[in-house]
Amino acid sequence: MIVSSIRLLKRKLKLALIASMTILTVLGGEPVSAKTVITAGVLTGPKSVNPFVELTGVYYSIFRLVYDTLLVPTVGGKTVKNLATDIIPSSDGMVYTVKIRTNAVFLDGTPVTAEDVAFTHNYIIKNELGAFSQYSSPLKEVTVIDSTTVKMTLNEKFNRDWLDQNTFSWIPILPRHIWSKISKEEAVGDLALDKLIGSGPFTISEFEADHFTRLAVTDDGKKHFAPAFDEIIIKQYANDSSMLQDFKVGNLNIIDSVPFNSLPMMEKMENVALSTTPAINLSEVIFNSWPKAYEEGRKKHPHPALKDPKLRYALDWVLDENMATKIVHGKYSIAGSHMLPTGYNHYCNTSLSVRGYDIDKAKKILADAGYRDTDNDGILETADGLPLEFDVWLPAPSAHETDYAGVWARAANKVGIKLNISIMDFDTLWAKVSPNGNYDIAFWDWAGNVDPDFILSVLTSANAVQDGWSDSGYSNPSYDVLYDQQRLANSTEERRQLIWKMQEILYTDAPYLVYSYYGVTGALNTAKTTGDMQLSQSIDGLLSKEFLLNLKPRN
Amino acid sequence: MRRYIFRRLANTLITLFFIIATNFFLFRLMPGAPIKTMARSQKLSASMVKYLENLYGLDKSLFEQFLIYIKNCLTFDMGTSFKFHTEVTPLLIERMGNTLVLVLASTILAIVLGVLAGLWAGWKRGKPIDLTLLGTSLFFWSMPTFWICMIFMALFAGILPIGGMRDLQLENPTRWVAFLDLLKHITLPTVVMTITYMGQNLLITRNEVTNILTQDYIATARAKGLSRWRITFKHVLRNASLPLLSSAALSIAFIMSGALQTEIIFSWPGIGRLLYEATLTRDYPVLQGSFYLLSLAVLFANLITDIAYKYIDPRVEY
Repeated sequence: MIVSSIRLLKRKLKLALIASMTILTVLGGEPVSAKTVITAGVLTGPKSVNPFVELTGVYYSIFRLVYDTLLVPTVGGKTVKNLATDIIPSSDGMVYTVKIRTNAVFLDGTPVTAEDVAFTHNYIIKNELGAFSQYSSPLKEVTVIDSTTVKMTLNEKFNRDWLDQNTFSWIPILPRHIWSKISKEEAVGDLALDKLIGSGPFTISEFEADHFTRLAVTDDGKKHFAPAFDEIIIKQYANDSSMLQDFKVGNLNIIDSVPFNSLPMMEKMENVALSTTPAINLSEVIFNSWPKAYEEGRKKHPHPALKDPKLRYALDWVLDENMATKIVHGKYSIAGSHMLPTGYNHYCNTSLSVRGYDIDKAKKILADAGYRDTDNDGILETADGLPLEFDVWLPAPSAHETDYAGVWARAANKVGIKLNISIMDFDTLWAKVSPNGNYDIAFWDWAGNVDPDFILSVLTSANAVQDGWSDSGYSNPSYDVLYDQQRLANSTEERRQLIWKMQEILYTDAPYLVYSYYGVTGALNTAKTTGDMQLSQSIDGLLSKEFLLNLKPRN
Repeated sequence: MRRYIFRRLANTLITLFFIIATNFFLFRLMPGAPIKTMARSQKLSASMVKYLENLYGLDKSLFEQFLIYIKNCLTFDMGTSFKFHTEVTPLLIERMGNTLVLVLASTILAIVLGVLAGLWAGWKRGKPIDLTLLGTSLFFWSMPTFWICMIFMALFAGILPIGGMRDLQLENPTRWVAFLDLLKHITLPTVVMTITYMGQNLLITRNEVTNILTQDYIATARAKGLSRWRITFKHVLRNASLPLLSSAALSIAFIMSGALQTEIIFSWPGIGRLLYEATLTRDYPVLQGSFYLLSLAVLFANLITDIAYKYIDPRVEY
């Protein structure tokens, strides 16, 4: 009986094995698709594809593929004509006549006309919609002249560069026949994909938040650009390991942003081309500069000594920017020194150099400023006897920043300053930072736009308010005046000079210690696809329209 | 029996109320205000901020918000997600479904394989097979789930899919092709969760079996000439099942948290991953909705377990 039971068991196991092998063989089949598809991996994808809801990360790139703007950013930080064929200022610079091309059509075949251009701008102005409000802020109104011409009247004369990089490059032209039926409240809600159509070469054919976005080439896109593929799938991964593994085994054509600690591995891989976008992002240490926080005379958060620029300089001299940038952002990043990263080209004040790393210099600055170690505990004190002990907070997750913060703390200790490093949840930290300034020092990060205006605006008094963008709370009337002037400058050179002065003020006042400039490094699988990597040198990197439309999948 | 069930039900409802209250107040104690975060990141105008506060009920008093919240819990109206701008309930149902697909398969396999292996190890205690099964299960049970996920991912990348729920390049697949595609994608995460959690069931079963095998009635059954299969499944397993039941109920909560790690590593769009993202972005409606549904699942599982206990062992009293 036992023997027959064992025989029966063996027979069942054999059958199970054969069934599994059959299933695995079937499962191992290749996907069936008649379309040529490019797949791109990203770590953070959009939560919505409504341009008035989601304007972060990858969605910037997506909306530029789906919608036309009048101009579009390109390689070298410039802008080129997109929907607009001409943008002509009046002699007083208060009115711009914009002509658009006649061959643009929305996905549903409706031609794009001046009515759509005027409607879009007026809709945003009237409804104060989202982040586009700041780009349309110079506009008073937009009126239609004829089917391909609009007149844009400004509130005041604005710098042409500013307008090109902001107003003319950022506003997606929407179909009036769809959006005129959408209220202001609905505009910031969940809208069906058939309402979210543009006149760009792609359309969003399928979207699942946290999963993927499928962009199909439109008929119009095929007609004008003849791309060598039918659709792009932007696949979102919840972690970088699985994204890199999929790229390694050939399941992805593109990685939008390679985590920097994976770059050494990617560099050694065959059939991989890497490309880094211009460095317009920066990482910095911020000092509490909220005036009200100091006026209240708190002993802690902020520490009163942090008002002293000399103390800030001393801390800068023990901050090794070269080491910090490599630890935090990897080999393709650049040591930072002042507010505008090198990706801003002529606006970056190259006369302001990195302060560097010099312990002795830091000691001298502190000694000259009157800080002494009166109790011989290794920590300097202020004239009032307050030890130079500061809390340094980092937003989670900040693995690499924390690594460097530890190095900085040890260096600071050598000059008699104690830094207590801790990490906290981002929103918790933000609630402490703004607007009440309940902190000493924090590590922070900014992602830039093509135009430096946004990054510079962060440090204006107008943003040092509740719900403003300011993290440091910095407020300097001279800086504010220059900020307003650069927007209205008469020429690029005049604007450049004003912006350089702004950077000099910040360098002197030191609300920030900028230690890193960085771009985004993407990867292309050259075994599956060929592309002109030069075309990926704009802010959208490997997801830029220019680059994607020139991609050619290999057979 | 009826009184027993009624008492258990009443306890469950009281626990549910405390869960609802804790769920509500806990999130409001967290620093940071979601509308302010939204206002800052989307540069919303003052009028739009006011509109959103009104839409999400955040302009009302805390007590009013709490009453509305209780009503919404009872009607399963979880509000609108701050981040996704969609209704939370359908979002949770969709993600819960994705997680259940993953968790159900692995839970059943973990229990069945764990129990079978535990029975085998118990009978062969002290022998090489017992030591091998014990050592292997302890190893996988001790290792962090995410680490096992990454090892499997590295081993099987290119052989089996390592991310997502479906092949996005499949065009208009038939139901059968879609089902096979799902099976392909679910294989690795299920295998990982199974081998991680079967260890617990194996250990419990083995320990119970070794204990039960020393009992007199087992010696009697052997003396009567009953086969090993009959002794195992009629006598040993029934007596070993009580602790297994408790473990199975508790494992629902643990598997959800394990599913979180698995979902993140394998980019599975389930509720664990949604919870993780919602925590980072202070998406209160999603967080509250997820916590509520998960709590309900655990409460319900415990209630079923308690009732099943009474049937299996009528001697049990509370």
